[in-house]
Amino acid sequence: MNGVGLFGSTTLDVVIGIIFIYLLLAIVCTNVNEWIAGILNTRSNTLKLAITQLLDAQAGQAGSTDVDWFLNQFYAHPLIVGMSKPGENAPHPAYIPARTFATAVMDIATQQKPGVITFSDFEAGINNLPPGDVKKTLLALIQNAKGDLNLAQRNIEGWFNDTMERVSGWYKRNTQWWTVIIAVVLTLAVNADTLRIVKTLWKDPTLRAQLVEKAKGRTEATQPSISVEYKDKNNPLTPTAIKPASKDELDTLGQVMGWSHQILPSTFGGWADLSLGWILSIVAISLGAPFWFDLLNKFMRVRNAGESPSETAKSPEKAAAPPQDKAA
Amino acid sequence: MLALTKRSVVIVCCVVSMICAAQGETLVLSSAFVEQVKNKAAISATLEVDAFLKKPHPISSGGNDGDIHMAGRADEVQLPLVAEIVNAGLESSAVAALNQITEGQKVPVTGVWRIWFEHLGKEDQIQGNPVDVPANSNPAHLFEIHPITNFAGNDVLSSFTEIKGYSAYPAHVAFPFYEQDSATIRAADSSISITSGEGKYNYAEFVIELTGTAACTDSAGASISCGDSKAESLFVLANVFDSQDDAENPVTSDPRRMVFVVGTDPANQVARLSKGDRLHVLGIPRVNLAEVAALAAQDAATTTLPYEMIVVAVLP
Repeated sequence: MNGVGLFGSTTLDVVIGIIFIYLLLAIVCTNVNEWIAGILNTRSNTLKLAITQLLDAQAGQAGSTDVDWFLNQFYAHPLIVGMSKPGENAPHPAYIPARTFATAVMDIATQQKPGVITFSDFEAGINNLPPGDVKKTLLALIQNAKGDLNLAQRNIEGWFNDTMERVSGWYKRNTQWWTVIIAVVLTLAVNADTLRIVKTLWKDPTLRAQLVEKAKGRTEATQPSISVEYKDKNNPLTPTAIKPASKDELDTLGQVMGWSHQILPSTFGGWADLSLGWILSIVAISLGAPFWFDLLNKFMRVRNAGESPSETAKSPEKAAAPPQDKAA
Repeated sequence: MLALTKRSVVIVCCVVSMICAAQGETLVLSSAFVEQVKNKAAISATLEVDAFLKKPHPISSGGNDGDIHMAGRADEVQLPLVAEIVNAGLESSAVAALNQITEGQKVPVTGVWRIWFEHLGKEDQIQGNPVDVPANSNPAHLFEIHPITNFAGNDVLSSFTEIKGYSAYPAHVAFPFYEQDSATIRAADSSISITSGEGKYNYAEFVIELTGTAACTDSAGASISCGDSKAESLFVLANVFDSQDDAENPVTSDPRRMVFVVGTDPANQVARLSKGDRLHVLGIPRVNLAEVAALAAQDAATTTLPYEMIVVAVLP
């Protein structure tokens, strides 16, 4: 195939090259985003906000000035204290199990009845609370429990889980905003002008071939695009996902973007082109690494389908796969 | 005409590529469920037993593993599921209890939850969707309660022992597959989807070398001292070797998480070990939902399928 037609090899290689560059930029963007989320404790703070919404505006006694008594009791409860790191300025836990939440809430509502409680104890405990949001919610939640304490607990867990689903949405939207901001900063910092990158790739067959080769390496690598590690080998409960972009890959970016060879345009049209190139890059980076990785895989398959059988890489592990175990 | 033919070839290639990309099956789990069980070895459920084997599998190799199967449905899981008692020949009370139940009867079951892409079906499995009544004891399923630790009030923790006469897959066969099995993980607002191809190698025999100390969790999956009576699950990171003699070449690229049920012989034995100590064990793989959750939080795309090993027996 030559450069003729939509799927000519030149066109296809330019498309693969630009997708690969978007992928690398999106990976950098995601890493920065995670770093910022870690610094700002975004996950913990979002959870804290949600729990505040669930449990605030509920005093312990009528006329008390401590209007957030229930919320304060929740954070002072041993079950919750035990989930935070030691220290006065310890961050809010990033995760609280629904059952722990429900148990703590039920315990706080029945403080006057230590030990094992019944449904009646719980109902009485709620009724003893002065008017407030938590009282109103808990009364609604136990209405269909039919006197079953376990069902009441499950209803509270459901209330918490529903809220956590919304929290997940908040976190995602927050992350999306940060992604766009980082994409803007990254695009301008490295002068990721899509139009210029396309022109460079179109004119430079050597660079284009290099990029396609690296893209091929990434899609065929036995190493995943993302992996998980346990930073503390004594803590098998909290794995961390890492999404590496190799130095070699990042060096590639320097060949197609940057400020060193950029001559700023002197005409309105020139600025319009540059701005369009930036905007395209910002939108592309904001779509995220998974999107570009999937697309890269698809285009690489199309490209490989056009290669001769000898060029198409074989998967040695699949070729040598032993017989499968079919029964459980 | 030539251009048209070329374009047709490209379109066919695209379609073939899409079909290739679509191979495997997708499991959609509720995010809340993932958070609930990711750091727990076992779950409890009221299982509506729809179909079951009368007798355990024979014991030799592969699928002849001495397990006894039952298929059913449970509100706690809301997925097609199969539950299995390992070493069923040793658990006569539980097997007798199974044989006494009628189809559709609800039975309390506790056991190790296990997700593994082994028995793929024709459709994706979405947690919360209505679950069809299974036609037999081994329907298409990705979720298992395997091994069972308590069936209808019968404690079967003693089944976590060597399956006499069984030849498990050696580590150098099973682990290269586990390490390379690919998956796509995506997060939505309230769900996480895992897409992967067919899994295999149920039982593997291997040697673990601890790379850290054990951590335990309670019934809520919250961290708890392993000495606490409320501890239910025990996790530890370990390198995996093919044999006790192999000191240099682990079959895993990084330490893998090992899952133990507190109260079983393997858990008792590993609790006495320290970093660097070794143990010869029999284990079965399951998807590591703690790692899946970490990956989903990153909006991850393609990766290797995160897995961990359920240790079901200590071998001589």
